[in-house]
Parts: sequence; C-alpha cells; structure tokens
Amino acid sequence: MNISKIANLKFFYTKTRKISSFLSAFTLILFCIGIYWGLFIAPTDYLQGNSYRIMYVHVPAAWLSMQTYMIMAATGFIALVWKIKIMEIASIQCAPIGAFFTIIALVTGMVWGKPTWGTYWVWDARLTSELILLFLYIGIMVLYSAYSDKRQAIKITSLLAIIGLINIPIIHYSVEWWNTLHQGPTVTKFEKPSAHITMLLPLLYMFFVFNMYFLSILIKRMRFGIYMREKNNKWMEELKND
Amino acid sequence: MIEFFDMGKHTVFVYVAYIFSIVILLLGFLIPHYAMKKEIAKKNDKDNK
Repeated sequence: MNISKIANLKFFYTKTRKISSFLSAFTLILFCIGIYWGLFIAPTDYLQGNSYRIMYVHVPAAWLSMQTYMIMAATGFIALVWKIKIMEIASIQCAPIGAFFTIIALVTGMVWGKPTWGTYWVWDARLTSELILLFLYIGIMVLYSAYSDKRQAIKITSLLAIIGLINIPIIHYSVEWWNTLHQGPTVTKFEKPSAHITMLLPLLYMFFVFNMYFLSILIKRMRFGIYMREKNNKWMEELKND
Repeated sequence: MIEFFDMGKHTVFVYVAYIFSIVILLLGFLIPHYAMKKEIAKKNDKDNK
C-alpha cells in the first residue's frame, strides 16, 4: 500500500471506519488492565505510599501532551510545505487531543502535588511551561475556528505550532535547567532508571495504552474532519447512498 | 472489599486523579463521536427537505 493512497481522503475515510471502532474497543480493554495494574498490583512506594500511583495516569498524559504537540507541528509543517490535505486535517485534529492530555497532566499533577509537596500549585518551570503548552493548544484551536477559510486557517495554525515547538525542550529540560519542586527524570535515564522494574513496567504499559488511545481518537477525529470538509462532495454523497 | 479499594490516607487523591483522567479520556472519545453523528443527521435532514 503506497503512501499516496493513504493520503487520499476518500480512501482514508472508508478504510478507517472499522479500524476506528476496533481500536477504541481494544484500547478500552487495555486501559482497564492498566488501571487495575497501577492501582492494585504495583507495589506501594516506601516514601510516598500510595499517592505515587497517580504517576500511572500523570506521566503518560504528560508525555503524550508533548508527543501530540510534536506530531501536530510535524504534520503542520508537511501541510504547509507540500499542501497535503490529510496532513492539514491531522495537524488541526491533534490540538484538542493534546489539550485533553495536557489538562490531565496538569490536574493529576496538582492532585499529586498536594500530598507530596503540600501544595496544589507552584509557579515553577515545569508546571508553568506545561501550562503554556495548554495555552498553545487552546490558541491554535481558537485561531482555527476564527477563520472561515479553513485552508488559510491551517497555514496560520501550522506556523504557530512550529513556533511553539520551542516550548517542548523547555518542558523536558526544565527540571535540569532550573531548581524546581518537580522531580527530575525517572524513566528517560535508560541506563539506570530511578524506579524499580515492578513500578516501571506498568508505567511503560500505560504509556503504550495512552498511545493507542491517541491513535484511535486521532483516526476518529480525522474522519470527522474529512466529513466536515467533504460532506458536500460527490464521493461523500455516493458513500451515503451505498 | 473496602480494604481492597483503600489507599490509606491518600485514597482520595489517588481516586480523584484516576476518576478525573477517565472522565477526560471518555470526553475525548465521546465529543467527536457525537459531533459526527449530529453533523450526519443535520446533513440528512437538509437533504430530505
């Protein structure tokens, strides 16, 4: 199967209908297993007790908030340079998904912060840069909806997404560049991760589950984006009559 | 059963974080799902008129 075929809106719309439903159901099962693993099987931390279990939703959400932004910027760049319609749709549909991940990361981080730091919020580098990420997502969505010409809108939002990329290394390295309340990297130190394997495995599993969720929602949202753009076109009418 | 769900003094924080995440993830799924259904119904109504 060549890439140009997948990039065809009609091909993508028709072929992903069943994939989307299957992925959603599969993700739900994987998520339930992950929740059970994180809440009841993973051992209790000797220092933080059970509050560390928030990590299993907080950390994957935070990773995905950055990953989604990078995908949004990359697809936006491709859309901007090569004007591929499906990339335009993928780029803008990443924004609400990324915003949801960022909200989860921020709120679960606040809930984790209270028993650990004694406060819900501090204006330190990691928390503030993650909040800026949420504002970037919201800004991109608002900007897109403000334009009636959606192809013009995507040029502006792609540009903003590419400029906003500067925030990603700031979020990632903020705990190393500045003195913050937020702990340093745990998993990305591959040679010697700080977490024990029994705690690390469910975290990596949840990262996989969140990625599956991202994929299933992105396909769902892209189908919606294609429908909105092509609903008055002949092929969409024909599809309805089938 | 209660003991199984009990996380000690941090029970509330853990469950609030998990429930909030589940609600947001569910919204992330339901919003595009129903938005699309609504748009298809709107288009069908318009075509039938």
